[in-house]
Amino acid sequence: MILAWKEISRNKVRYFLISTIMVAILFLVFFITALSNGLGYADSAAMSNLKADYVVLNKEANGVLIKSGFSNKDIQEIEKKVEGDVSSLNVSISTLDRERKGSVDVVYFTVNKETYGNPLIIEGKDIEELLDGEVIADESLKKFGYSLNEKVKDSRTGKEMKIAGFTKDHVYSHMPVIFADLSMGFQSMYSDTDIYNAVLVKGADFTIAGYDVQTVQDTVDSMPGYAETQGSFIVMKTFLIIISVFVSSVFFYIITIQKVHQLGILKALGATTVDISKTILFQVSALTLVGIVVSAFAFYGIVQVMPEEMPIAFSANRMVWTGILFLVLNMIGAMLSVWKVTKIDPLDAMGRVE
Amino acid sequence: MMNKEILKLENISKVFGDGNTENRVLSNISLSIKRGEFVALVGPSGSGKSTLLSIIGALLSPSDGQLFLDNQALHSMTKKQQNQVRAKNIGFIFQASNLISYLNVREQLNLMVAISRLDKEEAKKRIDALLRDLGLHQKEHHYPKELSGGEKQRVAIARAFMNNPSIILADEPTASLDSKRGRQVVEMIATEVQSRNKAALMVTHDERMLDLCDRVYHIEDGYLIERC
Ligand SMILES: Nc1ncnc2c1ncn2[C@@H]1O[C@H](COP(=O)(O)OP(=O)(O)OP(=O)(O)O)[C@@H](O)[C@H]1O
Ligand SMILES: [Mg+2]
Repeated sequence: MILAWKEISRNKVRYFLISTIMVAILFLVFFITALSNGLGYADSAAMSNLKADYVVLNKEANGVLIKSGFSNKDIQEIEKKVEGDVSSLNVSISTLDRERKGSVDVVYFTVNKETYGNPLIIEGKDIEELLDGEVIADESLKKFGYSLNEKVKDSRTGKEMKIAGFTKDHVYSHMPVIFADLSMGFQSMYSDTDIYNAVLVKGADFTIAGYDVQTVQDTVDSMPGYAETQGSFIVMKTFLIIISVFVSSVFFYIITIQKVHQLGILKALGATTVDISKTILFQVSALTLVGIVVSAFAFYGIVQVMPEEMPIAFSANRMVWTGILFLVLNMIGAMLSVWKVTKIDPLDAMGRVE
Repeated sequence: MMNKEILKLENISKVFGDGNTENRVLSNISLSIKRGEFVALVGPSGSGKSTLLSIIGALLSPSDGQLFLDNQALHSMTKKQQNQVRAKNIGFIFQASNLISYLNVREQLNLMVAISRLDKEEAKKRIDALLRDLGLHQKEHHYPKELSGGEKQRVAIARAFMNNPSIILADEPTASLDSKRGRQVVEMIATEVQSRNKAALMVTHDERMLDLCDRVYHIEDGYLIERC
């Protein structure tokens, strides 16, 4: 290991350069991961956190929740055929109005307060405890200056309501979600009759003739634009990681080729292929770890000074996994150099002038 | 003890190439070297000196014949065992000193602790002794590029003795030195071989070094003759 370490410290410039490339690329990978997290969260957190196992949509919707529509009669028919807790769901976008404070776009999730179940409440009442004219809002509404027990007015319908509780992680298309009971009547906001987008079911897998039944995750994935956005990010991340692993593997391979004569001497002196390979793997893992740690800290620092509106969701968990993946791939890439080492003939050391 | 045979070659042959381009480089070579002997190997270019040294050093396998180092049959060993023998029983001095560019003098010697799995305490004592014997103690923190050719070759000699080998193999150790320095280096090898009671085989082009050796073998067209 002295050998590995001395080589790095006597050739600082070249190893500094390769580390810098790794740091830069990893930083970008972390950034894109956090951005895709953040955008995914802002798009769909409320959908992911629906209190349901399965979502029933009509056939014409092709899995897209907001394209699906049910009447009261449809709902009754579905409820008859399904076992377990069932709640209808209406998703409607509207605006909150407050005097002299400007307006805020929000999304109403209209559910049956008796059967929907309780989302995580961080302040105030549970859904079940709501009285007439009370709603639960996502905490992101607080950023606009709203607080618990405040009266707010829907600008489209003119209805007044009181924020009786706050939940968290319920945003949809970058807007805060407001949970309202059927009694608020927002299911008829955009039509003369009641319209529902979906029926939420808690229970085991089932099918109903004439309807689509899918999981919550499928519903999230088929949100318009969601899969496309996340997919593009995955492609970017994959390519960045491949490029980086490729660059560092080729770098170490070239360095190994440059050292063929020297490694031949070591072999002639009795060093084994395993001894030499250990040295290379030690160098690769040391430089990769340094790269991961430096870029992680750099990224963490940048996140601290970034404006809050940036849709960046910092996930230590994902960063650790990205780092581990990167390390493993670099080790696999280092096998190229190890393979070269196995080919080196100790006879090289004989009768040749450097 | 003094006259113990360390190296013994019996009818060693080496043929390069396959059937149609056969090149017989060594033919039926037999020789033996005893403890404390410093033997020279001379011959024209292309006569097979390096090839013979590589076979003795377990870097190359003979096509035919038997070869024993410390009574171990080198010719029938696996690559791994040969590696082991190089690490434990053989000290190499190459034509160019072949030092590792990013290690200083002491580290070059210390490297052998890891390669030959030496005892650290003992190795440290041996390093100090060798640095002193070879006049290198003031240079122990210098890197190869800060050393003269003769100094580098002295470090290579020290390195060859680090694993307390049975035999030292040197392939033209003076080729890159002027004759005065070359002679000094050979004198040092001779002294170390004598004082440590080792055997040594040195390939050389320089006839003026031969008086420092105990015996001289001549090789030509793949045949070995002992000269007196
Ligand atoms: N790996 C090899 N493959 C084929 N032929 C080889 C190989 N190694 C050496 N030879 C041949 O063996 C012959 C002897 O080579 P060797 O290197 O032993 O000569 P040498 O006596 O050391 O010469 P010099 O004094 O120039 O170093 C040469 O003709 C050379 O071409
Ligand atoms: Mg030669």
